[in-house]
Amino acid sequence: MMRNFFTKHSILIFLLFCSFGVKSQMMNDGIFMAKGNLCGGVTYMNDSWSKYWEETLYRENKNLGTVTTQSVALMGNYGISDRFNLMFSLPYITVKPSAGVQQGLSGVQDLTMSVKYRLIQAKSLSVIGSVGGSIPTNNYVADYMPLSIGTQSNTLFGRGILYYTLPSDLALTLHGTYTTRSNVKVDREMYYSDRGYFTNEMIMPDVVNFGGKFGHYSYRWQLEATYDQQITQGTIDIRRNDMPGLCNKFDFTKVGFIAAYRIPQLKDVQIMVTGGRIISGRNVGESTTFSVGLSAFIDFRKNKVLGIPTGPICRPGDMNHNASGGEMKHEEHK
Amino acid sequence: MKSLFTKNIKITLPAIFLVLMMVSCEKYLDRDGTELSALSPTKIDDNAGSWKTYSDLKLTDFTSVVQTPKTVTSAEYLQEIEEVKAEVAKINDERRDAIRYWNGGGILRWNQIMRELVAKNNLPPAENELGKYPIPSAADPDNVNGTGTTFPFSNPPYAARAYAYVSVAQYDALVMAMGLKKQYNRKTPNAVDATITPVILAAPKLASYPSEDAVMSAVTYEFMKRLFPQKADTLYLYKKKEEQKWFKLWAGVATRSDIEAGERLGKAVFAKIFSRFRTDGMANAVGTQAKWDSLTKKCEERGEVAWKSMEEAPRPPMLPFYGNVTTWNMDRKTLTDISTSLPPLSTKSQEFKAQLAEVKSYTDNPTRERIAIVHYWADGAGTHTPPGHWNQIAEKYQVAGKLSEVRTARNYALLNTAMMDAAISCWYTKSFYYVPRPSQMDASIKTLTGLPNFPAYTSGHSTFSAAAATVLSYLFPDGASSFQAQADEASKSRLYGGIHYKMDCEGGLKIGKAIGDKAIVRGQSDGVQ
Repeated sequence: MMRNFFTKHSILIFLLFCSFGVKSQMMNDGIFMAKGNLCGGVTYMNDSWSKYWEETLYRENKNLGTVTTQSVALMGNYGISDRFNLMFSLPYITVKPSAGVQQGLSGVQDLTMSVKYRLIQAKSLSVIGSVGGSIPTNNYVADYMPLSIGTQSNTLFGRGILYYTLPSDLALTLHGTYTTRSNVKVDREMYYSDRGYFTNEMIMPDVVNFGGKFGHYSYRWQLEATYDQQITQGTIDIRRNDMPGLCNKFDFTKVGFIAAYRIPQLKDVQIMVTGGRIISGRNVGESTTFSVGLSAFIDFRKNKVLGIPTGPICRPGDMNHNASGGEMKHEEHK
Repeated sequence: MKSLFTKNIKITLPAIFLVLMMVSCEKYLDRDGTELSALSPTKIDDNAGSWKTYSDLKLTDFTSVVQTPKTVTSAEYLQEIEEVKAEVAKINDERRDAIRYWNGGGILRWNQIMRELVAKNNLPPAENELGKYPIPSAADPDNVNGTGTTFPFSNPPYAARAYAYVSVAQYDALVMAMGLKKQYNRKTPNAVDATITPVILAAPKLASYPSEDAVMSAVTYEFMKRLFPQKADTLYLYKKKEEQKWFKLWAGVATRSDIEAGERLGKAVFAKIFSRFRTDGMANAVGTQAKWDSLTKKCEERGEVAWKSMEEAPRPPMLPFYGNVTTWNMDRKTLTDISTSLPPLSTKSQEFKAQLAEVKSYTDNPTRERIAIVHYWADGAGTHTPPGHWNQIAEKYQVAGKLSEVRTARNYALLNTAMMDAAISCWYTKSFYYVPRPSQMDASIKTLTGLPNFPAYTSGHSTFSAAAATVLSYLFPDGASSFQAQADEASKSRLYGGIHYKMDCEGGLKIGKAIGDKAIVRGQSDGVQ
């Protein structure tokens, strides 16, 4: 469920990405919820930066100080079948600068929904496809970067995931996502990006994300290293000493980790901690991110037959634990 | 059942992915706001040569640069006709685009171009390693000789001055062109030779010599390349200038001698106005550390709290001596009297404290609606500034009015001289009283837009907007209530955003109205019916 949870979380983070260069290591997963199981949870995330790249110029801004974005997101992942999952996420976000006289904004951001399907299972390799999209849940202020909470863009994305399980509970995940973003309407009727525009409509360039993660994954524990890359299409950089704009080219490389544990005493509620750091970028903050999430799963099926998978599964027919919250039967995928 | 489901999903997922990829290729705006339909004036204003210019120009000043043209039956002219035919035959897509673009109206186009360049250059210099702010230098616009920043920083006072001078120069030059057209009354080549069919354009109704498009392109280019001298900007301007200069030859409705005469006239009018530009006091508007300190001292001697920069590396006030720049529609004494006619509240007064609390109540309780107003009118760094916004507002009415080029120029000149006077007045008031911003008086006030780096009283937005609304109401009476409502909203936006007290807004509106009234006095006596 964590995984699912992650997936959701990742989507949310992915949204943040699009707007702020805040990212997550949790966008992609080879894990599914078993049929009839719902995983739900809440995640707190904290992302902050004081240095950023203005185009490629590495700088600070004393009138912003450290910009901190915090979010609390609700996420859910439901197993329509063992290989077909439905996911959603919805974050509340607040942004605050530590210096200067301007206030940051806060509010509920975008609802993201997606489906994920395991297309092929060839021995230890899962080939997974996912499509989804996001819509703003309200008319929050977007055109106030870097102190706004989102972009107001409607997005559609397609994602491919390769998930490869190795001996000794190791797993490798590779993923790529293409996101197309709708134009947005802002509060003003003139702006300058690559040239002057006398309209309230802005073109939002599409976004490519890809990356991978590797490490230990088992029902009880998870410890993985993550790598993420974002490339925003388009050519619009922050101009010298300007503020960022919604349609900028936000690129970055990020490394991080995921650590999670299912607590037996709490009916296998999972606590997940993640951390990450942008190590290079363009038009984004050199941010450090951490998150803490709790999630639990419920099996909605009326007849829970022993031997039928419940909770998160790595592969079809996977049964590596006991959903009742008792001892984990750790029979790794044979 | 399950297999059907599975199969469908296997097909649809990649299909959706493909669609996404394709959708992504189509990124466009239906409109970028620069669209103009073909200019088709209801009145050609062919008597505009008698209108009053800002520089007291006389036609006889220019009959040496625009001499009596060759007759349309002369051998020289007939040779020009052959060139016109040859150029018309060379029509291609690039030229068609240029013809359509400039056929939207030369004055309107240049106004758009100028607003774009103001926005492009409206970024404050970044502080250097020593925490100091380099001063933009016209001698080093591209920052290649170690100035530390580019030129210009087209902030609102700079922009107001740019809009005013270019509008005045265009107007004065067009008035001269209209006078000379009437005097020489030369036909257009398509009227001389019926075998020439104009490309895209309607047959011109004005006499052809000198070409008004060449006049506009020359006078505007000469001014704007000095206002925006960065290499890339100058090249951009040059390309636009060349297009406007030649497009009527490409379209078969002007000859080379029409155009060359127009260009000479444009340059000659530019020279007259540029001498005023160079000596209007702008060079001293920045000031020095000693002069900035004296403003603080003068304020403190009155027992008041003096403005200080709230930026973390304190930045010198923006052009604090802009208030001494030469005005357009009133004399110096009138300007200073108006500018000091409404003293601000003392920061020690109860009324002031109440107004400070009012600011805080807005910033502590922002609503989505008020933020939209704040951001709609912010017109801050990276935009065409409040004067640019009012030119954008005026543009709709100029277009709807189906006005001649010279009348369009006259309206922009009245509007933009009023707004430059408003800037001069407002900056005079700001440096005179040196009132601190709300965030300086109460550090818990966190604003909803960028805090301008100059004193609070009076509000620039309010002053600009009231002056503009007053002039536009005179020019376009049907829009009066809308202009007034917009000015009020622009003014209030600064209070909602937490960067101005109510007194700044109200004072700015009143003074701006008085400034606008002076422009109307000029408008009533410039000979325009």
